[in-house]
Amino acid sequence: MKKSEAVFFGGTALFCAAYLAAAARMPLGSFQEPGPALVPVLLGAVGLAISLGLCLRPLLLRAIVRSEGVPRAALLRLLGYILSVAVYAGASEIVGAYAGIFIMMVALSKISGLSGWRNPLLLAGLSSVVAFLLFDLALGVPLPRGFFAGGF
Amino acid sequence: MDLLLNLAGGFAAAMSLGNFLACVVGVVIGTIIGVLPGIGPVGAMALLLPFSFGMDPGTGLIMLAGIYYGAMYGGSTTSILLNVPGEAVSIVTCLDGYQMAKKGRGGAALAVAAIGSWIAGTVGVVGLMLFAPMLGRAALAFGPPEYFSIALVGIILLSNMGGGSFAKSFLMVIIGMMISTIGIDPISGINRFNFGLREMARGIELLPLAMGAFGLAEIFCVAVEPYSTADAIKVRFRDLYPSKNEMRRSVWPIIRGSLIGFPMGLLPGPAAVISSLVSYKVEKSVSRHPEEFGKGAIEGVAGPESANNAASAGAMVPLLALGIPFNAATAMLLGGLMIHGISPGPLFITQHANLFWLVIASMYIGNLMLLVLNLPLVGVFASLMKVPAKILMPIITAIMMIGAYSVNNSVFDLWVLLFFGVLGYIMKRLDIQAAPLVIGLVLGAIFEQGLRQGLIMVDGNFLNFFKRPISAVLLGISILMLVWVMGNFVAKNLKESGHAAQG
Repeated sequence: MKKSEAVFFGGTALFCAAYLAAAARMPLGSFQEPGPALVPVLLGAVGLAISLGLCLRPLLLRAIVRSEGVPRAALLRLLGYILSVAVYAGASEIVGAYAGIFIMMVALSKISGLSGWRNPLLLAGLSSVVAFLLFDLALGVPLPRGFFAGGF
Repeated sequence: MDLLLNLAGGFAAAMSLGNFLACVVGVVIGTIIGVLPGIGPVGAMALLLPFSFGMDPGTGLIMLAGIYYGAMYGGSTTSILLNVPGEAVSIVTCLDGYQMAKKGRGGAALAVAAIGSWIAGTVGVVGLMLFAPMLGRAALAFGPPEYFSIALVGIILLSNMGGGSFAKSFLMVIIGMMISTIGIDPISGINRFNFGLREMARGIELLPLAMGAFGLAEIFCVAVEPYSTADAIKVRFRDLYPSKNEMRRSVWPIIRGSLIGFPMGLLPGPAAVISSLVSYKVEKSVSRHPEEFGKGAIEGVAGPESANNAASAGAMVPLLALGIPFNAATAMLLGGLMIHGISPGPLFITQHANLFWLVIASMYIGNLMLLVLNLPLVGVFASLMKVPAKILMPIITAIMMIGAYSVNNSVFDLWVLLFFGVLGYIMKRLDIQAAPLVIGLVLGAIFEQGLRQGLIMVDGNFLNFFKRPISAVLLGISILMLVWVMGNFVAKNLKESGHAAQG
């Protein structure tokens, strides 16, 4: 098993333990009248046992191999994608969905390797306009307007 | 007679301009997305779900079903012309399809794949039309113990059929089930695991989770390893005619593929993938020239392509009749239905008969449309592979973000999408499938409600679950499967320790 896999299952074991601890604080009920904690306790216990088994077995058997790393440039691209999406999620209600899309698209285009500024700006502008025409006007899906709430 | 009258009513509704256009749009967009690397049927449906919001339920569902079929078919185009499977079900098609294309028979392979998909899809829809109402009627007698047993057998089968480790798949199902317990408990009304967040009270919803685990995770993968745009083998329109010999050799594989695929679609798990693998093995074993397999045997395209399409139709039976999706694609269809306020289940076919027959009729039309539209446009679809990732991925990300927000008009769903996007990416890197997590989320609620209501019903004596015939059979199957898995695990460990002792 790869080291990263063992770490992942270690993480799921922690999640299951925390879930189990939270479940244990709720009423368990009885078999005649099962409470809201019955199934969560069952799931938490099973999940914890499997996670620990998957995490500890290769450690005990000393069958851990090093994981292949992601190249630095690729990792930066991935982090850039995650950050852009996170910024959109955090800012879309403030700046509005369409402005948010514009900013996110410019960022993603640059991160993906679209050269210069003209093409990323063009792609972002076009996408925002198409999104507005499609979702707002054609499909009637209300997206946050942010600053422009009273504007158009 | 009733069946034909209902079907005629369905056809009349499906042929209305709006529904017909929705079918065309769904099939075409589904094919386009299916052609693109990475974004498979589930990602496509997740991505395009918001487009159905403004439509009425029938039209929206027709479009989603069209996307499902289109994406399934789109994968075969790139498999045959580029040796790049658009999604997992098309991996088998690569083996012989691409070899045929290299020999100049790519057009014939595409045509046979399309004809096989159409025939198998139609056989599947006939099966769906016959079995779903039957199962729906039978399911009216189901109580909580039966639903609990179906969920349990589904969970165990799903963990077993994923193709990877049972323990890993089972853990993912369990985590999916844990996520399903977040929010207000439907029986006691107590708020569970919400950590004081108001948004968590309504729970983690299927759509943002699936969009993240399937769609955004795939975008992150492409961000790390961008695909290269490749030149597809060109196919001229006149090359699309299979020879007499190729047609003759394809007839039985198509029939066998349809018969293998449909019943496999009824089972939990990635039925389309497994049925295409089973069909390939069957064709190779019954062939008079097995040595041609892997070198361009038409049977290796006809059988698997038919099987995966029949399985896709089969998978709709448990969804429409029981309200239980057994794979991720039908879970997305369930999400689409629920957005429009429709809960499939035993009463769906009686209470929403018009909608059921409309969907059935549109599936016939959709299958025919795949054949009529996709063959002449195959060159156009294949050329989409030339759109570079640096243009495509930002556009897809933007559509996904709008889609996730518009399900509930909630920013919280964007965070859910991002979280499961990152988790899905990590799981993909570690070769852990996301489908069990998604199905666990859906089956978790059915499992919990079935168990708790069932226990109340039988006064706390679980053994009474075995006194109900359907529940007893399903629980028996679950126990047998668990014993088999445990037995395999012990045998494998004994063998490994034996080797270690000898070494």
